[in-house]
Amino acid sequence: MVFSSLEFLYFYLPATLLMYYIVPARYLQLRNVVLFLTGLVFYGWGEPVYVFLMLFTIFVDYLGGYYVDRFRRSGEECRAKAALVISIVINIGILGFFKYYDFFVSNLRHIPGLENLPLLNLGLPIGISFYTFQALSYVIDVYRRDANVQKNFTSVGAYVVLFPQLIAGPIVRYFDIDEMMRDRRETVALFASGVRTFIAGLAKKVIFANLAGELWAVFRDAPENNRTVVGCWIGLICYGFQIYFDFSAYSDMAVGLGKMVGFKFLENFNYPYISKSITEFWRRWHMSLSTWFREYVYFPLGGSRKGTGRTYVNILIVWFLTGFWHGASWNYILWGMYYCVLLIIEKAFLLKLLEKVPAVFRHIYTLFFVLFGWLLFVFEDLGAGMVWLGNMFGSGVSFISQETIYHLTRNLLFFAVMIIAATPLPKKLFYSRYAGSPVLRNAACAACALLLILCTAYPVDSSFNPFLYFRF
Amino acid sequence: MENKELLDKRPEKTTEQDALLEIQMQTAKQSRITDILTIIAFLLVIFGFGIAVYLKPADTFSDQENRMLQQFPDISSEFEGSLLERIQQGKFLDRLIEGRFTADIAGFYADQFPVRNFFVGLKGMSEIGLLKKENNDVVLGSGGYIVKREPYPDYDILETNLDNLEKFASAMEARGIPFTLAAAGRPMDVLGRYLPANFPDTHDFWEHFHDQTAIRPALRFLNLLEPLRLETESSGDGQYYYKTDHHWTTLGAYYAYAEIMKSFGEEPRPLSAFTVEEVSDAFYGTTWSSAGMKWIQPDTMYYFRYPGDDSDYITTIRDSGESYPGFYNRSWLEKKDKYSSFIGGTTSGNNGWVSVNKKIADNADGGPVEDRERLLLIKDSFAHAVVPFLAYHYDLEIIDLRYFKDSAAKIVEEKNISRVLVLEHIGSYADGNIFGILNFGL
Repeated sequence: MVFSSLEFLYFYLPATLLMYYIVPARYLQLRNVVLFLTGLVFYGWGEPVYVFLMLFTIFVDYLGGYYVDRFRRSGEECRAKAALVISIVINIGILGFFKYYDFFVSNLRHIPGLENLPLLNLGLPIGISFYTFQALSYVIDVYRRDANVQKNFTSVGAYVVLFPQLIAGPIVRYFDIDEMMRDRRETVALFASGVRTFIAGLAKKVIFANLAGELWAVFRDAPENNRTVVGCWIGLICYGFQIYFDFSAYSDMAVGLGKMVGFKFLENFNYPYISKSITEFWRRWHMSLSTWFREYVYFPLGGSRKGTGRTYVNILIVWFLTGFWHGASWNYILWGMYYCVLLIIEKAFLLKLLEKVPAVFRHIYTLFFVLFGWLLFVFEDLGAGMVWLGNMFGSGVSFISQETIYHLTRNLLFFAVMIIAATPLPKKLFYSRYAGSPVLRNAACAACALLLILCTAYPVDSSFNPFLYFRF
Repeated sequence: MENKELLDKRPEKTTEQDALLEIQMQTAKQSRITDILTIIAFLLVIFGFGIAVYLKPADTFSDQENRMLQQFPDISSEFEGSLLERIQQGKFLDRLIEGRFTADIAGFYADQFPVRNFFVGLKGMSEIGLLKKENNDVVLGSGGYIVKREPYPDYDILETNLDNLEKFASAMEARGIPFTLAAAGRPMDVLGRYLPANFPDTHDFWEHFHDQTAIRPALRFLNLLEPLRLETESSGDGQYYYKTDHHWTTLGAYYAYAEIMKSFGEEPRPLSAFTVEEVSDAFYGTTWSSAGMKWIQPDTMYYFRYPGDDSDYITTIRDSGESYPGFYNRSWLEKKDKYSSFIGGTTSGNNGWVSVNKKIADNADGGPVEDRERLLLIKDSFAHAVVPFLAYHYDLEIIDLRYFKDSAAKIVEEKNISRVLVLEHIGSYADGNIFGILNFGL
């Protein structure tokens, strides 16, 4: 179930909120039970059978946390470590099996004698990449004594299947949420702020991301002899908009929904496209993932404290994993390595050089390399990606066509709106006026409802499928 | 990196975010009433529509979409019969476990959502408001025209289709039966003058089609685009294609008929030989259904009637066995899909095999028919409006290869066919491999 679907907005969400708030605030534990159960429904919506997998994961982490804590308390460090390792291995094992098994097998098949290894073609359990990391952080944080053990099974469960960020992050760390599981206050201000954040995210997803995606598809699906240089650039830029608006919209919606049930999650995106270097870009893009890798991989490996050589190796490991986390395909690994190289170059000397360059060039430099990153990211077939790259620089295609002009001109306003929406400008403008103006505040309140109605129109329309069996 | 490591394990928060958060928290204090109103508005919408879905009587059929709508799934059937048996057969709660139950709920919400048409129109307005000139691939043209932007043709499929058609055409030629391949223009091919500036033209496709038919001489190609396009370009008020549908109008069909007859070396009947009957002024076509542009006005539909009566002709739907005098099934005029009134059956406007014959005057239905020249018409729905014109000259065996699952060669034999005409819009030659079946039983 995705947040922008009608069954989420008008069935799951009202039902969940109703059940949650029917429980009096003083029974927080019971409210957590509601979150646990509704989370399972949310998780099992598309593939109900995976609910058992989820229960198993929660069970492993519950026991992991329990024993890690117990052994640490009794000073049995080795056993504590063993419990930690077992729970990590099981979690990563499940992720590896469902997400990467086919990838490894299809690569092993190139080795003579192994051609007949079977592929499994398993459906990926929804959000597994996200919730696995989130679940791991519980056991690790307990091990590190950053967080307290949670002896209540449903609370551990509620943490892992918390519906707002289950499918697409932000990857919440237990450390950040430990307190909120035990004590949090749902307030009018927080709920209202959640409503605003959620609806803004919904609009980002439904209006910007989907429409940018449609436009990207127009250029992507054009036969090769219809491609143009301008079309290939515009198409890829559209993809850049799509992935940003889509991903950050999910995070916004998650943050908003979290607020509605009293949680304050950290922001996951901070206007990445206004960055002036690749280093800055990664401080603003999918921050919860970077944080996770920094906390649970980079620092434990020694970070940058063990000399320059070791630092680069650690960066390499982190970026290999970051790439691989995004998908079981070589292009994602390549994408991770691409950023690894760029970041190392920046760290080594480029950042200092960049500081002497006018800001506008730094923006262009950053966006240019991010855009090429998306080229690696979007084409799982590297050959097709390279053809596209060639087309962008005029290899075998004309510069522009009537068709490209048509799509470009009819989307000019949309582009302008998207560009502005990718900067902090609208939010700043809004809040700087918002505070002092009761009129604007009330208008904003009406705007929220209207925007929600508009965002409903899009999924209703896409379900409106004139079935033209008599078509032509 | 180093410093941060030592300082704090929490991810740094950037100053912009801090500033924003601060403003938000400040305003939150000042605006408790606004907050309450925001929450009320939000809850009203999600609970209001969420409950209204159930309160409103569920629709079963959507006229505009021409399909059945999803009802609320019934889980009680899971508990019918012997539970033990069901569990043994793996059928107990299988719909739930396989996710079909939840999928049906999603479908129910999509199909039964309250005031769906309002939302569809709202989305259309939003898209047009963004100046995108299109919604759901339907282009908002001038003069009240809305035109579907069709997908790219697949040239490989085109060649396969033309190869199959050539094979059939050669076989017909060998029997001394002339064969003509006619391609009609789609609205986007014809209505250039009503489309926005820079709308991509389709010259390349037509040129390619021309070239591909030229290297297959057995296919005598008849271009029905050019004459209608030229008429449209030059005429001020003539309407050759519907404004809201993907077909040509009866007037457009007449011009297509005239071109066809001329290519046969025959004289078409003059336009003045027909009396024009307006049969509907509220025809909302298929393009209108998906456009979401509710402000677009409906089309007017005409029949071009023979002088006197056409009831000495009889249309027989072979698929269902029904037949009626004339060419029009007027029951469709009461429904949305009015174009189906041209040689339509009771349940469907599209049928695999339809015959149109001229009866001997004063003969009862189903009696013997006049012995006339017989034309095999292989077609899509563009041909439906042309049939009444052609019927004046020929008895017609009309097959639609998407629904016809028999041997065309058999019809040629049994019905003593003396001429073959393929009449489809150009897109259908490059859309799916539908012509292979022609050579079945050849």
